[in-house]
Amino acid sequence: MIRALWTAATGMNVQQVNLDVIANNIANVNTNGFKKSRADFQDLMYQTLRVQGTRTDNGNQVPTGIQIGLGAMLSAVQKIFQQGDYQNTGNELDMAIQGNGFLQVTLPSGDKAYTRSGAMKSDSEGKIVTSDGYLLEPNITIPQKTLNISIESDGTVSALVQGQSSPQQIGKVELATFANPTGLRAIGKNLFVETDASGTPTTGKPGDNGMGTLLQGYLEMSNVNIMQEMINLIIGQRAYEVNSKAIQAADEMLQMANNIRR
Amino acid sequence: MSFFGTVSGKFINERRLEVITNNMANALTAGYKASKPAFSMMTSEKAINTGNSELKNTYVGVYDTFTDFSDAPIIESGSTFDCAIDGAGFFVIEGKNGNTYTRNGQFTLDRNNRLVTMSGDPVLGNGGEITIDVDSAKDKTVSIERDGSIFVGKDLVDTLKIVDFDDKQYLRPSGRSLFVNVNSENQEKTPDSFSVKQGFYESSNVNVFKEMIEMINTLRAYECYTKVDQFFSDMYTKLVDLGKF
Repeated sequence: MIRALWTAATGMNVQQVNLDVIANNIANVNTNGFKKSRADFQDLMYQTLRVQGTRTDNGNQVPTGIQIGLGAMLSAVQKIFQQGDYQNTGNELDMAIQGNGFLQVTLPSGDKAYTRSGAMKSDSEGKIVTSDGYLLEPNITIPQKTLNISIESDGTVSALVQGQSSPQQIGKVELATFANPTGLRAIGKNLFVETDASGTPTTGKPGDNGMGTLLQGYLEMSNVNIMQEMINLIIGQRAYEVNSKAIQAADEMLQMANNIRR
Repeated sequence: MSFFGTVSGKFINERRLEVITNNMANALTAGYKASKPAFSMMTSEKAINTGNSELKNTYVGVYDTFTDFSDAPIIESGSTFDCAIDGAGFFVIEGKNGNTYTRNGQFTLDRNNRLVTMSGDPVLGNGGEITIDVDSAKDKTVSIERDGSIFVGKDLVDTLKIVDFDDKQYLRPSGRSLFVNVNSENQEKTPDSFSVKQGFYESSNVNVFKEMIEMINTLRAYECYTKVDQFFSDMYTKLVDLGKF
């Protein structure tokens, strides 16, 4: 009886986490380069009350045995790296990645982080940075009095400076890919960092070796599908509800047992 | 005396509720197969050895659990390493004590590029553990065909091992969505027909409506036994009162 109470509690617990994950997805429906998460569940261990195949007192073999499951648990919350839609911004420092790969940025700590959000700006020294001021890696500095910047699909960045007749190449954007992007750790601000599970990054020129290509003037939007999330929300809420009903049932049964002696 | 009868009745209904609760807790667990309770009348004379022949055949239901292996809805996820089996069969997962089996096709790669379950156990192919080296491949697209063969670009890496059993009731759930085969005579065999779907996974086959109704039944049955208990309790009270002077 108490076992049923705990089992139902694990069910409510996983649905609560499920709801947290869905809520975060919905909150980021308009976040550039956001990748939705999914909570995965597994059943918990089983308590074997009678092993199948044992013989009963009258000589019959028990066909199945008794196994009582002890509920559900969370096995993973993984990022789903499906491509998001593209949005035309017209901003010359915005770039979207078509295909695999991440833009590399340097965190204030010196560590590298990876992002799919290509909303870049330039700082006071003309360096290309993210909206949070983190440097794009490798660093690219825009010369003063630049009239026009173009980013090729292979990552070549050129600037047309006032007084010059042809654009000059000022740097190259590199992309990084991972063997297992789902193993990346999200640290907020649209950034990911590498982990043991993701493997080490392979860097390269956009367009090479399965890397995606760049698209200037576009941003990748969030890959959250609001309809899908709403449906997951309803399913999650209902699953939570049936588990709470199971707790009620167990509670009522305990109450009945307690009331035998009046 | 008859407290024994109601106690066994209440006892099996407690077990029944525990099984239902576990199903409900796993209503959204990928690849979960619902457990079903089963009852039968115990006819043994040794059910409770009191030596009183009048107690024969009067109570104690044998309670079993078996697994309902029916198919569950297949859900699209778009995740590269999610696989669902449409039709019969199980994925083979390497366990500490031999092969384990699952219908949960939510896989991922670990740091050594091995295809693993969400708890890190290797998925087996026809050639053992499956290593998908996406890094060094020229074309990094991973595609999994209907027969389970895994391609990176145009290169065949391995084929997912998918097996079936003549008697699935010997597969016992062991947690983490895995099943173990407990009868060595029940051998792995090639399933008759199946197709693997990449980017999909099989959800849970728990039917919450049925579970809800089962739960209400359980609750009411328990209540019924409690009423009988109460009746006996009152009766004994009166019996004891008779002896008072």
